Amino acid sequence: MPCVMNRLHDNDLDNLFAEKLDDFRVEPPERVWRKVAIGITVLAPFSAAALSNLFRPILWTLTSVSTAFLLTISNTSSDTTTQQTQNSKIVVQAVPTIPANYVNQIPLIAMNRIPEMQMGTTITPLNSNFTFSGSEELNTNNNTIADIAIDDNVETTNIEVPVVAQKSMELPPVFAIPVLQASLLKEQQSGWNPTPYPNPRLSEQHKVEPAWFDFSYESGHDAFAFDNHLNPNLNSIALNNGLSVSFHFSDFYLRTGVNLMNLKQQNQYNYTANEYQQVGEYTLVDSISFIQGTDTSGQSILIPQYYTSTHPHFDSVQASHTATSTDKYRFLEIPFVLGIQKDIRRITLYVQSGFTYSFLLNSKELTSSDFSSYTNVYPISWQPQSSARQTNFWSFTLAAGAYYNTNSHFAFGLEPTYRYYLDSFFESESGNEKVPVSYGLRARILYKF
Amino acid sequence: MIFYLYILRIVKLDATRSKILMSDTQETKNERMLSEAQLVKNCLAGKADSQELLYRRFASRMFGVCLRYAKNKMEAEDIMQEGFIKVYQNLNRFRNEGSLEGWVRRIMVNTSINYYKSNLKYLQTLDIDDCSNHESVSVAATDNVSLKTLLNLIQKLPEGYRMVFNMYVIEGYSHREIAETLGVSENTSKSQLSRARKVLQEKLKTINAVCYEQTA
Repeated sequence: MPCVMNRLHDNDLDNLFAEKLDDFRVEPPERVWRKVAIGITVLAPFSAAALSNLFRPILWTLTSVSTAFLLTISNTSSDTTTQQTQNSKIVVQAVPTIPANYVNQIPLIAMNRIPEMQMGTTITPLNSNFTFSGSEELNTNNNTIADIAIDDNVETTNIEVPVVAQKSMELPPVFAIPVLQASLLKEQQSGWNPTPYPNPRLSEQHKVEPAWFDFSYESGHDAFAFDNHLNPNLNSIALNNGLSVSFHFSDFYLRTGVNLMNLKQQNQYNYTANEYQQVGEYTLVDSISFIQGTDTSGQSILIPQYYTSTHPHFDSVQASHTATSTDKYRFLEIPFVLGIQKDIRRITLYVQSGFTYSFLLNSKELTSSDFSSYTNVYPISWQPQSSARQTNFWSFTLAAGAYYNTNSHFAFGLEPTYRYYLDSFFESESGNEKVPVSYGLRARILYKF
Repeated sequence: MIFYLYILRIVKLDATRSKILMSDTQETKNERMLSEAQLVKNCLAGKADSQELLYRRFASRMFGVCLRYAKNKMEAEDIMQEGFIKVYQNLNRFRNEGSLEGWVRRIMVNTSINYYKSNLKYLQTLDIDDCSNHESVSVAATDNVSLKTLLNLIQKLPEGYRMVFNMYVIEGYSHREIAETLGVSENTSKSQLSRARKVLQEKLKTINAVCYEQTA
């Protein structure tokens, strides 16, 4: 590059930055406006209208929770499913074929280009500032924003503009399809790339903030409280390790994944075994001596004197005992959680609730052979006293937490959780009528895509 | 309660957004053509639509201002959020005597300065006296420097240098005004400006060398 070696003096340097950066424009992320809006709302005086509108989100929340609850209790166990399958008739409804004319009426969903069969329809361009390519039948006469003055300093850009096609033929809709304008879809940016905004007037067009995902690893303990006064040893600790994927939309997110819950819990076992025990006593005559005496008639006789001792009598008898063991249970859990989060600088606060489906992967309970190897006692009978665990159950989870965003991708935080089990933890409810609750604290590491 | 207020705000925003997204109806066009006085009046009346419209009107330019004063995007977002809340809080003080944009920009700059001052104790001043070889860069070499590059250069300046350079070169403050605002002496302001220029010259020279090698 040929360089004209004119020195860039202070004034030149100042002019360079002043001219280029004085009118520098970058479109801020949508979340900035949300934070500003929250700030205005919190600082604004409370009005009666706002109070009345508070019922709307309450109703919305209750409706969502109710729907989720109904969905979850509709199929709670495999036994119920089998019974319903056997007793119910499966009705297959014929699905009507969609006529070819209706196919063209289906709106474009997440399409950046017009399909071939839509090329004959009337196209409404977004802005005449752009030159269209790829379609020869574009009609800009009806463009309602064509009268917007275009900044002369902005160069005309030749780009492919996503468009929305409208069919002029009036046909009754077959079924409702949610319409999402393809022009509003925006690719998510993996990194920040500030670019000058070309047309100030376009800045007033609102954009849809793209949804995003995060991937997280969580680990922590749960403390179970069974509220069983008869057997306080049931209270136990579980270690959780899980992987989650969250789908974020607006300030809400849906989270699911898998979690391994390793639960240690005490069980009681009654067993009988042959033991060498004292079953009675016997008396041995150690010695005999005689003393001289007289009987009633006055004649002398020898009277024996027995010297005895008592000894215990041992024998092999069947004895009953109770053994207590700390057993291990491993559950695989699948959470379905809806949450809402709020960003305060680098801290993100969130509240989430939902349901978790758990099923027993494997368990390690004390057996009679294990007991024999540990104690050298060979039980004749072995009877677990604690009820067996349910192989699958649902629980309701409520959690709130915070994480610190180290950068745009990584974050870590803590999450206290409360879980209420909708089903009994044990197969037999005798002695364990109350479903347990658990309180936990989990650490979470997130990676945001 | 704040949670429900937040939900309420989201519902209102979604309603506003869906209304605006319904192509360009006459109603939304009229809203966009609102005069500044009417916009301010509506904002003071608590109309959420107008509050959002005011934000949208100045957001891109003000974010550019915040980016110049911040060292990264996250910090710029914080400054902009704080600045716009101040705008709405103090909107009743706007007299319609100057342009609304200039008034908003002034608030953004002041917010940036306050942000810098409030975080001053956490900042580390870099000693760049060791920067050697302060050769000037050619004028022609700066023609191809992009906006993004210039912004990155400013953002990588030490905090004090960046504040003084922005205020003097782009905002047009005098050294005395800078000294009063930042609470430093005029000589400090001049010294930091001079050092900021040297750093920028050095960086531009490096960019120029890379550009030259690529071209060659």
